[in-house]
Amino acid sequence: MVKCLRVTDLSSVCSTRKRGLEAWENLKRHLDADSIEIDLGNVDIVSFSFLDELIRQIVAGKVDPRGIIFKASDPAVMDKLERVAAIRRVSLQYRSDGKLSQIVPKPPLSSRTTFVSEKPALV
Amino acid sequence: MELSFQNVDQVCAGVDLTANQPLLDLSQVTFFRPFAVIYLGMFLRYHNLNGKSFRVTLPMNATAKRYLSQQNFWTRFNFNPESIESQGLSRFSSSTSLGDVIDIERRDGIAEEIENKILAVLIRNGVKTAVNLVAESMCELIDNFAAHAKRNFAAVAMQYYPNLHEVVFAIGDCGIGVRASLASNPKYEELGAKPHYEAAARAFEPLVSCRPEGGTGLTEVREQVVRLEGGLILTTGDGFVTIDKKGETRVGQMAYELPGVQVQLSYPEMS
Repeated sequence: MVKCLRVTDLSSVCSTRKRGLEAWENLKRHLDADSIEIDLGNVDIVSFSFLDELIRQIVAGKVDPRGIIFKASDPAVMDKLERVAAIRRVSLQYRSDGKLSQIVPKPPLSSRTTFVSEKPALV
Repeated sequence: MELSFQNVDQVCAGVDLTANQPLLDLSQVTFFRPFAVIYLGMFLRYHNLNGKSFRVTLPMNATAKRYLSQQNFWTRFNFNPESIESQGLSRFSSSTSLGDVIDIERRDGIAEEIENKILAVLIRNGVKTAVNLVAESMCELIDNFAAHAKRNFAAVAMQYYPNLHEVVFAIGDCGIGVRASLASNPKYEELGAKPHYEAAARAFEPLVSCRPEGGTGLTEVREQVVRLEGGLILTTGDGFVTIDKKGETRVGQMAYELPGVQVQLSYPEMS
């Protein structure tokens, strides 16, 4: 049985780590389903911290993240899922246009840091 | 003289803090960039918290002088904020515009509340950028302040330059700063003896935090700044980090050591 939830069913606001934790607390009530589909659409902002905390808690709660399917069509939200997958080293799945796929982890930007004796003028 | 990241620390360093009532000379300032407003505000606020109030020479330039007056700058920053009646602080309201300075107080839910208000003001002004990502980045910075600064107040300055097709936000506090915050985690204790800029640069790395669960806020802010081809300035103590639209990170030293964290995010409008 697949249970379909809107992310706003889990937390009315989808920003901040604290709200991600709240979403996890509410998600726990649905873990009896074979898999859960979380629709990340129709929300102004689904923040990286929110997703990171939700996914971190899913992993810490020893729930197989492959049983959680994220539904997202916004490229910016997909980009965040890809980066959470890379940072947390978890295997995540998403559904877009009805098709189930594996999220390809995307490492954060590599940063080359240079010490400068004068402030850069560009910023 | 335009007061900006380039020179605001030198202005602060030039103030004789041994004087009974130090003089802050802004007579030559013709324009304030948001970062400079916040940096200067935190400079005043920090010293006021330590019992020092300032005499000020106001800008001779009428526009610059009017800007400070409109923002209630002195009432807000040249006093100990803990002793100001709440009506003396400027809060985000439905009439707040993209030219205002507002006070942020540390309380539960403040980051998401301000995020929504910033999103609304960006939409209302028709700013042509990914407004939800801009608001999200500000939310991350406000959440960082609330979680780490150990102070009750921060301030946010906003500016929209329609002719330059640019929107700029600055946020600052005069709390414990990045280095002390990270060094409170035994894992990063060694940063306590390193330069401020080194600790600040580390804070942009994923999962580097004083807390076991966090460490993605600044990483994400950097991602979004680069994605939107913007720019970032962060100062803490006497260190700075800048990130340009290509993601190049530069670090260095400020001429003045100001406690806390001050950040400016700038975004070009999309054509």
